[in-house]
Amino acid sequence: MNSETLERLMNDVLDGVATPEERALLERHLETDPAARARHRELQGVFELLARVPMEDPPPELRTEVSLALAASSRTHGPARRAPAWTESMRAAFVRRPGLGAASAFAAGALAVAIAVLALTRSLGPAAPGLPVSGTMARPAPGPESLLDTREARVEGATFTITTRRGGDPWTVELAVRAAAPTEIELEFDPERLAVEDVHWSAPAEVHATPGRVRLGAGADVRYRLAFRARGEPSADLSATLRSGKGSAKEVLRMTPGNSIP
Amino acid sequence: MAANERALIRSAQRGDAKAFEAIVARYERVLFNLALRMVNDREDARDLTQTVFVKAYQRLPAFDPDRPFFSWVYRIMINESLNLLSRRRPMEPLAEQMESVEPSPEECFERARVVDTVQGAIMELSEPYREVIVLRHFLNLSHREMSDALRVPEKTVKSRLYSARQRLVTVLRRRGVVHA
Repeated sequence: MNSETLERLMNDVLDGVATPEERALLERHLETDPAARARHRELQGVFELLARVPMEDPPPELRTEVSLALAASSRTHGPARRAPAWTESMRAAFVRRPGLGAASAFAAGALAVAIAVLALTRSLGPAAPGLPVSGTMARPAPGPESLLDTREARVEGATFTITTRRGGDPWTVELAVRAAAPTEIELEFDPERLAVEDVHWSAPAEVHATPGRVRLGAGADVRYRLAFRARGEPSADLSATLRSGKGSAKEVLRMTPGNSIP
Repeated sequence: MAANERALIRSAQRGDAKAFEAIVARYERVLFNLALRMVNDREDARDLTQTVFVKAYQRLPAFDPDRPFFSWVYRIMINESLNLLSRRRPMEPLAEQMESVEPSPEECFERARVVDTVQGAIMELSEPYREVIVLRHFLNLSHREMSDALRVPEKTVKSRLYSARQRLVTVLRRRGVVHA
């Protein structure tokens, strides 16, 4: 038996796919070949090591995220048969709340942060005109990280998902853009109620910020993570406008944190 | 495929949301783990799991319920994982190494070490080898099931597994985990 045949036989036996005859053949061979025994032990060690890697629990909010994504998908594409009733009830759970009063000091802070974000600006290709999407950010139900809402918009050649989360403070807005062509996203919010604290992106991207507005450019597939600081208890609105050279789409999200997401 | 799963799929195809919720509940954990082992990032695995369920839902009316559902949905996940890996850039600031969600008591230390070691080693494998290791050893698919999921003959599955393990032994040996 040559070494490759022997090695394949060991694999089959350890993998549980060998016949009884093959197992017996390997056992006989191992009795007389110390090198093969060593190799067998090594390979057995790898199998045992792999078996010790446990299945991990997914994040507890994943089920909710999937439900919301399916609801958003139903609106964007519609299921081939009919929209599930539970997506309608989920939509009904989102209710707009009145906003906060003005706060000039906060606005000044927002401006300072916006200027800082401006300093991060990087250049990219030109953006094309196109498509609007809106979301509402609101205080979430208590929890380590609460998903507020997620939506998906799709135009020819581009897919966009937006998710709002809150894990204590600040709020987080996550954007994922998959596009064949340059895409632009413009976030607008009340600068007296919301301020951008931080912006991260997964690839070189263009970022412009002024109080109450952040414009993000993406060449193709980019993820953004924006941290917002809000003032006071009530909800604060945030709208996102997406522009793609190949079309447009619009979504409006309204959320109230008191409504638990099923 | 079990008869009850086939019934669930048929119901979901007719628009029964509870049926699709049951499918999500059944496959959420295994799909998350498949993604996690393929891309080594919990956040990406979470996003991928969500994406795959949405795609499965959108394509469900065209799915033949007499075919194995798991191999279909695993195939979607593998494709999505490979797409993500191909988009990753070395400088990507959002890519974070997988972190254990467990606290760090002593009894968890060894487990965490094993997971880190194995995960690091399989990330050194090329994607075709990584996917067979993940499907066989972490998801416990049979060669036949892997053949369905990967759409390659069983003989190819077996051969790919053999080569993948050979390479894994080499990597683990280099890392001092296994010894000749």
